[in-house]
Amino acid sequence: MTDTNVMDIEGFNLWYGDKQALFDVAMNVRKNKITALIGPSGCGKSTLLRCMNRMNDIVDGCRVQGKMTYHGQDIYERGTDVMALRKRIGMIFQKPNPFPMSVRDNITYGPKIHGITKQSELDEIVERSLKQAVLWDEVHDRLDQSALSLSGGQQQRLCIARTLSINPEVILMDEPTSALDPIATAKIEDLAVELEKDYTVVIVTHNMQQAARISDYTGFMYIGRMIEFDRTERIFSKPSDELTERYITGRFG
Amino acid sequence: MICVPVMATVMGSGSVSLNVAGSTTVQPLMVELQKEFEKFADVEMNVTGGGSGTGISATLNGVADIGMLSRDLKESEKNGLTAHVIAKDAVVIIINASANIGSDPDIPLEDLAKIYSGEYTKWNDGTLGGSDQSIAVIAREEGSGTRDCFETALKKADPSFNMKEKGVNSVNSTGAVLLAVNDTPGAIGYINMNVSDGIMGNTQTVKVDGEEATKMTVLSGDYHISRDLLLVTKGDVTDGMPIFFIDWVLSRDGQDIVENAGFVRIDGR
Amino acid sequence: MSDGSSIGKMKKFHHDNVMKYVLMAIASVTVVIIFFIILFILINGAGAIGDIGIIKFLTGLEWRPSAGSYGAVPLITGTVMVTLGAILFALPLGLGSAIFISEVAPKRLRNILKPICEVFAGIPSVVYGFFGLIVLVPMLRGLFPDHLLFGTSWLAGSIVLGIMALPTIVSVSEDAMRAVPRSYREASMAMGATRWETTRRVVVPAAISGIAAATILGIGRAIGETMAVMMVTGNSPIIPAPLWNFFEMLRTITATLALEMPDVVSGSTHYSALFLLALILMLMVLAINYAAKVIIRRSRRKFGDSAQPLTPSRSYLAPLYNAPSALQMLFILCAFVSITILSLLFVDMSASLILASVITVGLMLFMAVGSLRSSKYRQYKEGLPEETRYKISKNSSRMLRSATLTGVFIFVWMIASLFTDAFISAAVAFVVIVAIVASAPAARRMSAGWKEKIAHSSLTVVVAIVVIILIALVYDIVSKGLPALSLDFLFGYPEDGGTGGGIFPAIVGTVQLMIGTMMIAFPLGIISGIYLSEYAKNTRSTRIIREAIDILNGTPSVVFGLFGMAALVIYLGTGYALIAGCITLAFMVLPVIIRTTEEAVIAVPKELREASLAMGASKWETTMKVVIPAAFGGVVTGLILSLGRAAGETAPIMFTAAVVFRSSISLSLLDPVMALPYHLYFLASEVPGSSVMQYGTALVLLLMVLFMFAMASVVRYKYNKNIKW
Repeated sequence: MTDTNVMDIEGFNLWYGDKQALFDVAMNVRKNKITALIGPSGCGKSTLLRCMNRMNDIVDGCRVQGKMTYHGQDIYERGTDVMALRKRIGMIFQKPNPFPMSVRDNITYGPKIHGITKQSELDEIVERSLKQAVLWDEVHDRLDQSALSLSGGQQQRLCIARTLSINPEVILMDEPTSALDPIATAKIEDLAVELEKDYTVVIVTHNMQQAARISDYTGFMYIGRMIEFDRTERIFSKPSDELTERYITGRFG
Repeated sequence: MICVPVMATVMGSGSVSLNVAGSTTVQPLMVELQKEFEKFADVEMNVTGGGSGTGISATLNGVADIGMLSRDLKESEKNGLTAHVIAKDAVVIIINASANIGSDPDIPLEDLAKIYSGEYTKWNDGTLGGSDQSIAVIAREEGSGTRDCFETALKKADPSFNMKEKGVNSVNSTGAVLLAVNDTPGAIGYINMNVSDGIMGNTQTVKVDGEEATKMTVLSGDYHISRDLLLVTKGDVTDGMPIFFIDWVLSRDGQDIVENAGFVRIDGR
Repeated sequence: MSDGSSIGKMKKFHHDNVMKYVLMAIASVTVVIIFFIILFILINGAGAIGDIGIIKFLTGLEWRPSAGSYGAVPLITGTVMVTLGAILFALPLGLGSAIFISEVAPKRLRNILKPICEVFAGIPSVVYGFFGLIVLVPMLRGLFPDHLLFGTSWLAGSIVLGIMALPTIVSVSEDAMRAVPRSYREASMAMGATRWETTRRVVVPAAISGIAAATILGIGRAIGETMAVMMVTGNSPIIPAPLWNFFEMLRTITATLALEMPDVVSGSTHYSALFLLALILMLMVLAINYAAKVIIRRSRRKFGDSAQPLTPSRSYLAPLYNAPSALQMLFILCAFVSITILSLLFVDMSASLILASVITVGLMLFMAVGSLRSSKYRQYKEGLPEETRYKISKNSSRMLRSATLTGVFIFVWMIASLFTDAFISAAVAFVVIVAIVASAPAARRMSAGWKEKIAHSSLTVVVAIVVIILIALVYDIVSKGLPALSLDFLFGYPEDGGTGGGIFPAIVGTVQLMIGTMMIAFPLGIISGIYLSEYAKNTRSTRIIREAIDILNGTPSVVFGLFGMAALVIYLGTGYALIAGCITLAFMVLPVIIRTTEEAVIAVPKELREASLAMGASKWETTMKVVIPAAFGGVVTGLILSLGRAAGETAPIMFTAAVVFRSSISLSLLDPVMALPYHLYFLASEVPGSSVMQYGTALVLLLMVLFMFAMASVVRYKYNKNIKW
């Protein structure tokens, strides 16, 4: 399989008000691979991730500059259909955030928004998404119960299923396991690896072992800069930057 | 919000409409007049209260065709309005029986002035000759036509009269005066003559300068605290429904209703 | 599985953009309304400044419009005095009850007392006024026959307002004390402190800002109250003499507006003077609300950053409060004498003594606090020698104690002087002070356990008093109102001037007013709330809009009545009409609805919005399908509560829609209506022999409002159960 680029980022800067949070970032996201972003807290890895489907638009006073393309198209170009962009590039958040609705309504929310109304089609999507998220066996008999009654790990997998329901190409994961216990974490990690076959995944994590275990590419960020971006095994075996080495060997951060 | 006046026009378009607003003293009389006049002419009347001030504002703004007033127009208000006297009213003094100034009480106007200016504070002060009971003074609110009439009369008797405020209970309706006088030992208050049959067990009506407020004494001027009840129209209105109505009120039929409502007719019958 | 299809451009007329502008348009209607009301009052009030002169208006000692005297001092004094009295009455009772409910009462008792309090906060003010006029006023006249001719008085007004403010004060300060973390209490108890010591030294100080906010909220409620006050204060526009004579009748600004508005000619001096009064009232409420905001903000800062050093206050005064105590005493004595002599030029002896004492007590308090703060500051900054520090803190606590004693002396003297002459009063006050000083050592020796017993039993007494007052009110109305309730009463028309028959048109009228208010206020309020919280950026103009909403939110209801009468009834020419009443009520509740909607919407976690947006939902879809359903309970609760408030209001409808009698149900928007609160006011203050009808009307009104509150709690309960984050 050739590694084609889904996203290209070059010379990307970001400001919150007067404060610059990203400096001249460059990286790319390869198709059907898992790309991990690591770095100490506050290094800008989540900020960068949220730029990839323009979730930073919500933040008042946020300004960007530089190149960020999706299949060659600049996503920050004026008039870009942000809704269509986000349909292609989904996102999983740090804390599981199911809607206060039933499990079924959580999954069908996206498809309905995007115009699918046929009940049989929706049912099919519910089953497929939940199976893909390895949740079907646990919840298929309580699809109409509140999603808030599920455990934390189940909720996070529900959120993944919810994102899968609209069939995105890229899934952005923002520290998806930081609020979960080790068993639930392992399940999510397995799931991410499973998803790699069909989807492109970008994951932000502060857990270096996690990045090493599941990702194909890793970017190390520090104070708003992309210090090093390379194949995961290379980053973890012989990093070219001293900072990276100090970080992965646990000497700071 | 803007569509409201438009609606008013549209909804009143069935027959001729006549809007009347103002003094709550005249309002009960106007309701009686309305009942008869609507039989007499093809007209739909709307009567609302407020106060004499509302009557003037509403007429000037054209909201009402006719304003009801229980006081005379002030100089500053005469501009643009024409006043029509339709009846006379007297202000009747009532007291709580505990004052104990006789079964047929009579207070001279000068003594009333002394009570309301605060010179007399007990019912046995001066020549009042009552019990050793504090006088509980009740008045109508500032701006009320009844208060205006009462104070004007006292000023005539005593040019230096100055209404006291301390210890005076101000209420905003005739009904409230009746209630307070009846319930409060030593109380004195004033009401319109048309409700003077509504007084209760603990209350006495008082003669002023030996005269009772009747049709005769009011017309002759022997009863000293009286006033005109007015209807006002916009100055440039000289015919049409409002004038027709006022003429009817001044006719014998109208004046009969005035008398039945407890006020004094002015057509000399 | 996924194709790399390009994402394209957004359509120019995408529904998200369209909806944004639709919402903006509706929200701007609201904004226009809000600024229109404020401007209308400003412009009408400004006329009086030219006619009368602002100085003359603000310093004039006589309010007699018929004689051309427009001095607002008696009315402002009246407002301040009645409110002050209400707080003096309500604060000890309210605070005591709050402490009892939060710290002493067993859980089961608390679960009963807390909801009772919240229910009482919703009782319409005209019902309190009715209770005051029918029960309290004759009672006071019986208690003080030598001082009260009528019974209507400042005292009666303050008690009624105090009872009205009680539930708010109890409820909000109890919340504040509940919010003090358990760990604080445990830390204190673990060191062997009794529960009472913990309450007094840990819980109350930690909750003090919440308690202050509760008090201020209570003041805000009392100051804008119209009907209850008008019914029981006697309405003499005078300054009490002596100033603290609570037996005197006096007149508040709100009562003046309600009494005189119908008699004035629009455009006249009297008319604009009333609007100027309304403006002054609004400014007073604004100042109070601002004070509450500052206190809350400060306390947040205090708790947010505990490491912040205590800054020295006014360091240039430091020599004053750090001076040796003998010098301080001399200074205070000089101040007292010179103030007395100076004020003798303007007022009589007793007044100047009082003035001097009050200022002196203030000075002593200031110095005590100042030296405490400065000693703490120095301690923090430099580390003074132990001895000096001890001296300073001892000095300041001595100062504090003498200030308190002087305050008690003045207070006792003031009250005693109303009953007897000045010298005997001074003797009484002196005896009280001596008693306090003499019993102090004994109190100090008392064991902590005994102190707790005494404290808890006095709290129990306080709660008992409050509960008895509230229960008596409800029992009186229910027991005397129930016999009146019959089908004839509920479905009949009033007869014999209100002494007989039924109240059907008043019930229907109130329902009509509610429906109309709902139809105007709900869409405007909800949409504006959503627009402000979801769409509007935090710019200067949205801040101004929020500020304006807050101003209207605090505006007393009688001011809306004034506006409705001038702008709708007279100027637009609706006359007394259903529509005018609905619009006035709708404008009154609009700010409340906007605020509660905003709060409910903001409470929806940002994560839910992000989840929806991240799936490609538009902002509009996110708002409609995620945010509003999640905020639904909160929004609906707010709506019902605001409607309940509107249902019980009298002042806004008495000049715009309500009449005392209708022989038919009003079918046109331009017809006036009868309404329950106004009917109750009318019967109680004007119709002799209508006692049964009064109680029946009060009961129906009470039931109607309580039903709405019950509904609100059910909604809130269900919503809290379903949704947790």
